[in-house]
Amino acid sequence: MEFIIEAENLFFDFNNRTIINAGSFKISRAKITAVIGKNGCGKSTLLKLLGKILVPKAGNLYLDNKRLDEYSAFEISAAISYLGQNNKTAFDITVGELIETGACVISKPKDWNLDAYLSRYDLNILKFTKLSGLSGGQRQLAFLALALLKQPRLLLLDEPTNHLDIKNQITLLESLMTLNQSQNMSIVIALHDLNLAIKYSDYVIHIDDNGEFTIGPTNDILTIDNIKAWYGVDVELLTSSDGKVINFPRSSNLMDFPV
Amino acid sequence: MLLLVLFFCTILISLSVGSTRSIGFFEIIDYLHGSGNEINTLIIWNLRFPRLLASLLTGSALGLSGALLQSLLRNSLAGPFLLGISSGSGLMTILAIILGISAVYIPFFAWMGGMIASILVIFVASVGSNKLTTQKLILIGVALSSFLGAIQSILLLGTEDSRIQIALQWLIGSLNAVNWEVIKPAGLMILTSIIASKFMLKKLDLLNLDEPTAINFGLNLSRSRLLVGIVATCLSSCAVSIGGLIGFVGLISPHTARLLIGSNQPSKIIPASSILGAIFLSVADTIARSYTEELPVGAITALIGSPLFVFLLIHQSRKSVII
Repeated sequence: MEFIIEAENLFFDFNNRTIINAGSFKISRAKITAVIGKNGCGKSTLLKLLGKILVPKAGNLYLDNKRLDEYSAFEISAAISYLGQNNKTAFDITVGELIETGACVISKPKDWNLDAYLSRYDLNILKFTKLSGLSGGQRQLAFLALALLKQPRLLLLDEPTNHLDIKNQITLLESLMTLNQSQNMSIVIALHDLNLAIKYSDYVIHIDDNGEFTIGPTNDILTIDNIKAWYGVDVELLTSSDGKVINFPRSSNLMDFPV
Repeated sequence: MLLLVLFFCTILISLSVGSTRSIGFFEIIDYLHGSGNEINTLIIWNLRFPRLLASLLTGSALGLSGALLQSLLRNSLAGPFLLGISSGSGLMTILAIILGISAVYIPFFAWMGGMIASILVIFVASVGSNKLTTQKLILIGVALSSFLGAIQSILLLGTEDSRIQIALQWLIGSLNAVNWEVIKPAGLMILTSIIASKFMLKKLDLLNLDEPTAINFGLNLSRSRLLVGIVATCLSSCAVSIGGLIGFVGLISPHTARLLIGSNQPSKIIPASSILGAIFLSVADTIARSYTEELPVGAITALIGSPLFVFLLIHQSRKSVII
């Protein structure tokens, strides 16, 4: 099967505002698909729909050719991992306790061991550190480790690079690429930084103001014309030593800010 | 486990101390062997044991209920009476007292009032949208509490003085009138709820995470919240039916548990909070009985509890005393 997710007339609205009006689309298996679009365009909503955290108002979603609502909560939980934007706990727990929380409710191999698992992500030294004492990067890593506990077929990440410095951004995305290549994990990732999308994704979904999608291979979607049309920004595509880079020339983007 | 040792010490001390006479530790052990003298047997079995059992059950119910509700509502200010339990059972009790209903039925009325009020809160919170949010639960609980509290005050003002005394004892919280008839049904329900809560610990750990993550790990949010809410409600209503509105135990126990264990993980805190509640209330009740004139235990828990609580919070920085 070439596609992990297939959508039929997917529609979602909230307070009478259409957020997703996607029609039908497919998401490729074992690829990295970036979801882009302006703030508030519905990137988070799309990821939540794919993870069955929200239920579509109309239309159907299929995971591996089976309707999402035909899966039990346990089956969905085993197949899909979701890493959201607000990784807050009500009461401040340690990294070890966070991983234990997830480990207690999933089926895992008999020889599974917390310390070994933590050291796989270099989190062993942070086992007894409370989440409030972590840096943004460490925190994101801890929650990524929680999401990866399940060894999911589909990994959904909602703007995981937010608040991360450039080193942590690259580390995170490189490790996602490794997961994608070594375990054939399908990854859908919401991103704001188009340069990260162009570097790390195979496919791109753009969501416009009406909730409509444009979807295709990254290089076909992230074109000068499309970026101008969607964001109202003039860009040039430069070719660097390892692929394309989007540059935003200041001279052509001088804007009148109402100061 | 230091907690368990503390727990058994409390039991022994509580059986030994009392207004009639002090009974030595060895005499209690004699009694447990079935070879104690008759007076001691009478005092222990008919007076102190029901009282001790009542304080242990009520205390553990309050401690557990407080910890459950703090986890459920994601708020460390929550206590067992937050969902309208106190005002519901308060109103029913005052009503029963005014109507001159025999004192035997008051525990039942108190239990009913608490259950009805908080089930009403949970029900109203789930109406409107299909999502049971913690914020709605808290706010509706507060609204209903003031509403019922107002009715209660109006009723109380019109009551004759002799009956107000009974009502007051109950409103402060006291274990003076405890007997086997009250302990048996309420105690059975408390024990059932304690066992039920044991199976919710993993879910409560998940509820501590943010909502989407909890759902992604297969948790049905509304159903789990409903379940936890009902068990917590049942626990506090039973506690109220035994001892009236004993304050502070439900708030201080989970916090003390967090400080002593040095963790905030619900599955670790909740059982500890239950044991601490039992210890705390039986110590408080032992003090209440030892005073020349019997004091309502609710006054003692607040008198000792509040400064102790503040002391613990100030020393929070030196945390992680692992037990």
